Amino acid sequence: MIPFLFSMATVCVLWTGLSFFFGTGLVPSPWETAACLARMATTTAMWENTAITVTRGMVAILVTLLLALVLGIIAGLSRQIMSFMSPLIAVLQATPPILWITLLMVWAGAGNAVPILVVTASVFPPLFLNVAQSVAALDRRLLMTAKIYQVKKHRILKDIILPGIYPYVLAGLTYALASGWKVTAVAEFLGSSRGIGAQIYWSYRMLEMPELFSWALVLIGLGMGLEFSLIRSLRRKAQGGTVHA
Amino acid sequence: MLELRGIFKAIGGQRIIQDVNLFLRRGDMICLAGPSGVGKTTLLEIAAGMIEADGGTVRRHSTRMGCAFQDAPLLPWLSACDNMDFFLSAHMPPEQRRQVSRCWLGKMGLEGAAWKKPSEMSGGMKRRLSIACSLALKPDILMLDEPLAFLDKDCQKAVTGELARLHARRSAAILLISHELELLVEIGASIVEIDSSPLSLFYGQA
Repeated sequence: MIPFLFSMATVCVLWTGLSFFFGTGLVPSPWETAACLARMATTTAMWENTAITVTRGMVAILVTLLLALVLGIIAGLSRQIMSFMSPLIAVLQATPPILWITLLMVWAGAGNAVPILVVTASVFPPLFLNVAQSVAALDRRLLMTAKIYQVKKHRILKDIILPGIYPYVLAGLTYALASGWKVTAVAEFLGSSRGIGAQIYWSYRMLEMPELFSWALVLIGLGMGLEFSLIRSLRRKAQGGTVHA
Repeated sequence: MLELRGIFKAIGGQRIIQDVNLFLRRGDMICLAGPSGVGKTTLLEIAAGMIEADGGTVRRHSTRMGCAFQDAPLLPWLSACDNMDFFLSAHMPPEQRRQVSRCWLGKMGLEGAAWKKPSEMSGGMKRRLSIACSLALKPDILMLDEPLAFLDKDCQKAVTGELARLHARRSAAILLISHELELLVEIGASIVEIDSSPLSLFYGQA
């Protein structure tokens, strides 16, 4: 708790210093920002935009996770399919999010599709590789024995594959949550009219600096909340031990 | 039931198995005997489908095949009981699986380990569990690698007793690797001595 308060205090001091140096027109002071944030919190627009961003991020992560599980398990079990897919994954990995955002804005317009698909495109490759590699690393002799005993596919999935890849998938999911979150905001900034990212864009266009800073605080606050609530506990589960901050 | 024709296998550039032809019918029980390192385990694993041969064909006319290998592959996250349930799942309804599992865990001296996971069991216990799975299945093809080694008298009796029953009913083709030859001859197994290296063999009628 003490290191946390200390870093908060450091940020406040630096922030106030910058605000004096550049003037409150460019860098609103922490107090001004807090007042603006308090004002925004009474409007429904703020909660709506926050909810939109959070929903988009979560839907995107869930869709990506499902896709990565299905395709990753298939590719992990068959070397041919894996060698077939790996160039595609390499292309996907080499494509910067900005390209997806541009293309998807043209193809899909400014709705929910852009942020969700951009997160999927950028988080899918690492998550997929994570699943495929952990499936490929499963005990082959155990899988062969199950086959000899003619164990049904759904039991092999439930009792060998899923428990075997569980820790690796959790580790991959922590990464996906942390980065997918930021990608959602960027995609909204560039390709959507609603959500926190879009609000940051509008504040920037109007040069409403207190609002811009308030949205930034909301974004950072959500990211930290995610980190401390979900990501830490997932990581701890994945490692089967404790995580030191 | 089980046909191996012209099997070849090389491991690391060295030919281990050269031209094995083996034809087993229901009611046959043979035991491969010979010095270690001659390729018996490799041959059994090819016959079971655990590893691929480099040449030749393997045919199995089986609806329930039971196997136990020396390394006893088991599900590390499930208890002994649940492991048996998993391996028997394709062949029996749940209630029968529970009964058969309990019975065989008892016969193999594992009743106290029913809820233990493989990581909490010794190597010998894991092998007994794996043998229990293969016998509980009432298999029509049965392949066991050293099923009697490191077993106490009671467990040996349980295993040979079940082998004798399967053999008497002529319900299974049985392929064994063992050094406990007297015990197996007693229950009517034919011993196939292997001394050639690389392993070559002709047994049974095509």
